[in-house]
Amino acid sequence: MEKTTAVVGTWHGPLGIAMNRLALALGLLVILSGGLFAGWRLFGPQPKWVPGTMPVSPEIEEKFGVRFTFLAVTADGGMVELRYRVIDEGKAANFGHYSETAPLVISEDDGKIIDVTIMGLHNHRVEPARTYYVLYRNTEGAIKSGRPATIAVGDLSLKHVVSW
Amino acid sequence: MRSSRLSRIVLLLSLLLLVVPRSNGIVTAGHEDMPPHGIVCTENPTATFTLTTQEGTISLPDGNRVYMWGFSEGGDPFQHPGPTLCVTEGDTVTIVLNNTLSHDVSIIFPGQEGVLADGVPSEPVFDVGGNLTSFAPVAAANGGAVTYSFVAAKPGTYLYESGTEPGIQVNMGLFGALVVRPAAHPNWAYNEIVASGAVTYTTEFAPDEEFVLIFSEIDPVLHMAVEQGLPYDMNNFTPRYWNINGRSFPDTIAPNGAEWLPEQPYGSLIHINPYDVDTHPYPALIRILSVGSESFPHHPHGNHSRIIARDGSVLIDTDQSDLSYERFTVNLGPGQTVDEMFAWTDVENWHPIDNPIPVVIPQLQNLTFGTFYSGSPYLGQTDLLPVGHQALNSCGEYYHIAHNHALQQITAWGVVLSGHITFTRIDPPLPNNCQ
Repeated sequence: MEKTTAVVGTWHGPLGIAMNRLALALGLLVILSGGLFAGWRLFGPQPKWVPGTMPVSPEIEEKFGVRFTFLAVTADGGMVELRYRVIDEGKAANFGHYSETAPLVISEDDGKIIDVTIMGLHNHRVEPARTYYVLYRNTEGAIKSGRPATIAVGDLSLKHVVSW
Repeated sequence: MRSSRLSRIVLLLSLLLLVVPRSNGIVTAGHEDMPPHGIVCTENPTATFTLTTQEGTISLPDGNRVYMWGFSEGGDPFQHPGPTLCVTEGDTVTIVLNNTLSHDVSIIFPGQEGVLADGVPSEPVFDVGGNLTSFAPVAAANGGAVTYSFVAAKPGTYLYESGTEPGIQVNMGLFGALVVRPAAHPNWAYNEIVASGAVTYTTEFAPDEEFVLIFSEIDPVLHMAVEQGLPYDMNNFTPRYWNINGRSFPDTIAPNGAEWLPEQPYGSLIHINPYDVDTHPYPALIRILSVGSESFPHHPHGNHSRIIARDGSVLIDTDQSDLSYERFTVNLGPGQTVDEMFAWTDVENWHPIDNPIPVVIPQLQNLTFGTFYSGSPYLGQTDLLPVGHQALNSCGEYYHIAHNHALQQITAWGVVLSGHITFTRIDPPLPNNCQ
């Protein structure tokens, strides 16, 4: 049997550049970019998540009549406490009583969500300027002290809340 | 070929670089000085303490802040309540009271005998008209000082509190706990070996499960009057807030030293592990004290507690027989202290497969779920919950509420589910995955 040797030619792409060299160049470009990116992530300016940070959402206040004031991990990590102050008692009367008005807390690290099913009676009396609380079970330690979280209620959200 | 392989390696490396974890930028919450739960003792080898009166404010969960007075150790900033002083039986306890307030202040030590004030017996003080002005010699207003001393002769749980205008000054916050430990057995509540029938036992407790709960009440109108220098008629005394360790629920279950409660360092979460004859054989010791003006029926849910002592006296008869008793409600009188022991015991060793509870658990739609239910009745287990309900709790732990059964006292100026409430948290046996 005649022995044959296959000769593999180098395919030059439409630009006439050898594809393996093109891949090498692209790879080096990516590794350089990745290195820069990793260096920025490791050594660049970091957000200082300050426990107790609570931004304000005028939209939530306008729609639900409440202002979130406090988020903390409590009960030795087993629970999370969220407090809100009543701005408008009429709008706040049913706050938390329906899925559309019940606040969720979402870890911004990994997207874990904690929620609560029951928040008292419908149309219960709330007083303006008073502070009320909600306790959540801290599902699998989803919310951590000193880490950012988002409070979501209905179609609105309050980002970068940092739990005590 | 080589350059092709090299290209793949380069691509792989670059992909790996893209998933380098980000440093988290955490600013720590600063709880490192205190254990997250349990007693926080202030102690020193000479049993000598300097208590300085301070004024400040405390935070309440309805958003209010209330002006208070307090005892702080040395030059520490205001705190409420005063530091928990831990000494050993036989110690000569010395307490220097420095008074910065604009009122005379003294300290009394209920349960201690032979108390001296500046070296002479501490006795009530009367004015020239024969009216009682103080139960003990005072540190005069605006810089006065007095030194109290006594021998801590008997182990137990005691109060220290203002003996001057106590109706006002104790409500203002001038109180704290004094714990005297047995000299020979620091992990026993008392020295006695108790006989219960043919069995004898001690009051040894798990050292990492010792708790102090001081019950108090606040009339904010009184506090406002004191702050503004206005008169206040004690006949109008109407508490609006009820605190455990100076906090109202849900602050009560926040950790010791919680940064958002800098003036109120002591939590009251009872966090324990279940009884195990080999790994966890001793119960928790819960020292309960009251500075209230009326009885507080404290009611821990879930299991009875064993009352082993009242007012620093172990419940034992003259023949050493056991006089302790179990209660699901501890009726705590004004000025009283009660020591109770509690162990959560899985008596029947329930297990979902090996030893299931002989009750058919109804279908999900026929159940009502408590907020802290894991979906499973078994400690350390979690199971399905209805759609829309949270899927798991932290690690299948149990939470038992413990609250004052005078339900008007579990409010914060009318807001329900506050005041005298805390929780008992029971973790699954170690090792566990609790966070």
